Order: sequence, then structure tokens, then C-alpha cells
Amino acid sequence: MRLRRFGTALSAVLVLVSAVFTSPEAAAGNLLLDDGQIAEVIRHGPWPPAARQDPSNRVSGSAAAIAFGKVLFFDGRLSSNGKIACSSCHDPQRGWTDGLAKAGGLGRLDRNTQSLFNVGANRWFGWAGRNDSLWAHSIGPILDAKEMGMTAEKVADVVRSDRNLSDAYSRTFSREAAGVAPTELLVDVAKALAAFQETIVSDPTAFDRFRDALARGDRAAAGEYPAAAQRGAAIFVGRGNCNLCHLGPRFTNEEFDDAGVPYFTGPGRVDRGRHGGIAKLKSSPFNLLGKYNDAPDRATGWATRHVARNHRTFGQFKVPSLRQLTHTGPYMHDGSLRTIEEVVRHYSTIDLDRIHSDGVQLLRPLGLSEQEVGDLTEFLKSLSTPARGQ
Amino acid sequence: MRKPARVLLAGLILCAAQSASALAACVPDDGLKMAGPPEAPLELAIELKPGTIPVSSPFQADLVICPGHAGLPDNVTLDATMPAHKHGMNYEPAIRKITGDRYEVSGLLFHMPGLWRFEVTAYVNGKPHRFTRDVNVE
Repeated sequence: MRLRRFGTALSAVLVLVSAVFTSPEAAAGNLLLDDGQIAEVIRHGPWPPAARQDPSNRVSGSAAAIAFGKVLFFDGRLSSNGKIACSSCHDPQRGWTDGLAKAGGLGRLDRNTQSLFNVGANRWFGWAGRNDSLWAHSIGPILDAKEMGMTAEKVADVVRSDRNLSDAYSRTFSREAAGVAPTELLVDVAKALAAFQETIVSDPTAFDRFRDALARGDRAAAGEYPAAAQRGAAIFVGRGNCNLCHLGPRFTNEEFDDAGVPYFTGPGRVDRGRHGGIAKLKSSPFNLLGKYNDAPDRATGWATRHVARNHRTFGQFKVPSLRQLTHTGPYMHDGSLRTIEEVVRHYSTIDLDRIHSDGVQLLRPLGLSEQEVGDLTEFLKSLSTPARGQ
Repeated sequence: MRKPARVLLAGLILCAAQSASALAACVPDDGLKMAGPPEAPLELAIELKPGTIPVSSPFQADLVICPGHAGLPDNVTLDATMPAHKHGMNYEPAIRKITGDRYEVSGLLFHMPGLWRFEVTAYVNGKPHRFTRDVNVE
């Protein structure tokens, strides 16, 4: 009897404690960021951004192009051995990348395969930004001898000789593939591939729910975001200065920097990064200053027209988006870091002697404690959806 | 002081006052006056388009020249840097003369938030005069 009474009292106390700790007031008390940090966090949204079409691609956003591009994306006949499709390296089950340190098609490459999540919003494409449009960047792997090893003529043959593909081409471009010159048809294939890739947009994450709650002033809802991730966010927008480059809703400024990762790819071989990328961009017949840009005034080519190929671009690589990180490792341009925690430790102990850029005082070792490494890692993980395909 | 000298001095003061007034009137309402050397024979203002610089997005600007006694510049150049990080822009702006006292600058992009410094050099009779203006980009 005494025991039963004790049990009833204990239950009542537990219910009371539970109510106190799950009340909106208590959850609001779990919000750890100050007003300045909150303002910075709010800048990383909202997500997803409004869909936008690429004016340089006349079939961007077209349902027929998206369907045609999806078929092409998974078709191994776009490679010289008939086995390597775009999806071989950009596998939707592996976060639209391959899970490998370095990419491989017909041969082995020197860089990590970049994920296609949210790729339609890029200003530059590839680790070195060698292309200024998604469709131009889709041509590169098809023609590269180490990737898919095709020619424009062979791609044209594949499309023309397959009834389903040639019908899809006609529906998309309102003309017959048989009457289109091979290079022009290759560009069209790439524009359909781009239309499909533009649809690969990741869903909102735990971070986005936190950010949206802060934006509408709902401190109780914001307080439900894990404490470790909040502490990590405070480092990210605070003394870490991570948001100087990883800014905005996509967590990237769309530009390039030297992150202190070695750019020697073998004895006597150097990856010039952005420096080489700009040279390829300027000489590409497919850049936005050329005749394949569908925008009437080619105004979309402003970045290519003005980009500066100066000395400090040597060894710089694209500042990647941080969304969907948990699904897209390994990390850095050479895939040398296997986990998000390794990336955080890299910036915590960064070797300034490895940074080539002259005089730039941007990166310094963060000197994070073990708990801070964990906190920043948790924050970065919260930028991903639970499932890979989203 | 003899009378002709007094008249000359008064004239000089009047000219200087009128010149300063003309310079102030020349700067547009939404223009940002640039800091230059006191001996510079002109003043400069920069008009941003849009008025607030969006981080990591392209923008344009107009340079407005307020000519002094030496007349308009022969040439104008513009650059921008982040003093705290010791780097400049990743893009090379293009400058086009619209009228004698107005230049349009395109191809500008500030790829990081923080303090940026516009640096304009105006060449008058071949002599460079350097002007600066700091702006905070958020």
C-alpha cells in the first residue's frame, strides 16, 4: 500500500517534470544563440529557393526535356564502351556522386566526383569552374577520353538510331535529329541532360526548420534543434568565419579558394585548379560567350567576360555547397578527407604553409576543442536530409 | 594690405567657395563621395546599382566626376579590395565613359561579406589622383 502510494507520487512528479521540460517556455530556454548569431543563421535560408530557368538553355524547365534528359542520364550508350552512363558516377543512391575518393570512368581521374544536389543554381561548374553553364559542363564528361570517351558524331548516331531517343529529341526540340549537325545535336543532348539535373533539389533539413523558426520568431520551436548543433552553428557563423565563403541558402559563395589541400597529383604533376579552369573556360566553344548560348543578348555570359585569371587562382578550388554533406563524401577536391569530422579537424589544424595564395589572411587554424569539433560536425550533419535521394 | 591685394584675396576666397559649392552640388543624392587627396583637382562619387551591394552577385556602378579647375580626367581606373583579407575581386570590371563627367562600371562582384574598399585612380593631365571609399557588404 505504501509502495503503491509512493509509485503514484513518483508518476505525478515525472509527469510534472516532463511537462516543464517540454513546454514552449522550456524549449525557448534551450535556444543558445544570441541575436547576432540568429541574424547570421537566418541568412542561410529560406530553403528551397524558387525554381528558376536557365536563359542560356531554351529547354530549361521543359517537361519534355526533363523526361528526355532523365533517359539519357541513365543510358550507358553515351560512352564509347556502352557501359558508362552519367549515373555511373552520379548515382542517386550515393547522393548523386560515387562514394569514391577520386572519380573514374574509362580511366582514373585526379579529382573527387561532385554531387549533383542543387547543381542548377551554380555559377561555375566543376572543381575548377571550367564551365559556366550546366549544359556545357554536361558535354565535358561525354567527350573526355578518361570519362565516357565519345565524339559528337557517335552521340548523334546513338540518338538518331534509337526510335525512342529520336522521338524524345523531336518532342523536346521540335525538329528531327536526322537533320541536325552532330555538334549541335550534342549540345542539345547536353541541354536535355541539364534540364533533368536542374530538378535535383534537396528537401528542407533539420537546420532549415531551425532557421525558419528563428525567422518567424518562434523561439520554442527553434529551441528543439539539438544543443550540440546550435553550438556548432555559433562557431560556424562566429569565430570559425566559415560563413565568409559558405554563405547563403546553399552555403557557398559560388567562388574559389585555397583550402590548404595539396594540389600535387603525382610526381611532377600539379592540379592548377581554378587557374587551369579559367584557361579551359575561355577557350571553350561552349562557353556562354559563344553561339550555343540561347539567351538572345548573351547577358548570361557576364561572369565569363569579366573573370580574372590572376596568379592567386593557382591551386584554388570551388567552394562547395554544404547541403547533403552526409550523403556526398569523401570530401575536398581530391577526396582526401573521408568524414565530415576529418574536414572539421582539417580546418581546426590547417597548415598555413600549404596555402598558396599570397597574403590572403582568411584561413587560420581554428584550434577547436574536442567538444567543439563534435559540435561543428553535428551542425554540418544537420544540413542534410535523413534519406540520400532527397 | 593694399586695396588690389585685398580684392585679389577676396576673389580667391570667393572662387574657392564657389568651387567647393559646385563640387558638393555635383555629387548625386544617392552617390557615395570618395575620399581623395586634398590637392586633387577634382572630386569623385560612386553610385551603386543596386544601391545596396548583394554579396556574391554582380552589380554595376557609375563614377561621377566633379571637375575642378583642371578640368575632366583623361582616364579613370577602378579596383576593389578587402583590406582585412588582402585580396581583391575575382572579376575585372570594365569602365565605359558615358559622358565627360560620368563613367559606367560593369562586371563588379564582391564574393565575401565584410568591408570592401573601392579604389579609383583619376588621371588629370597624366597625373594620377587616388580616391577610396569603404563599403560594408552583408
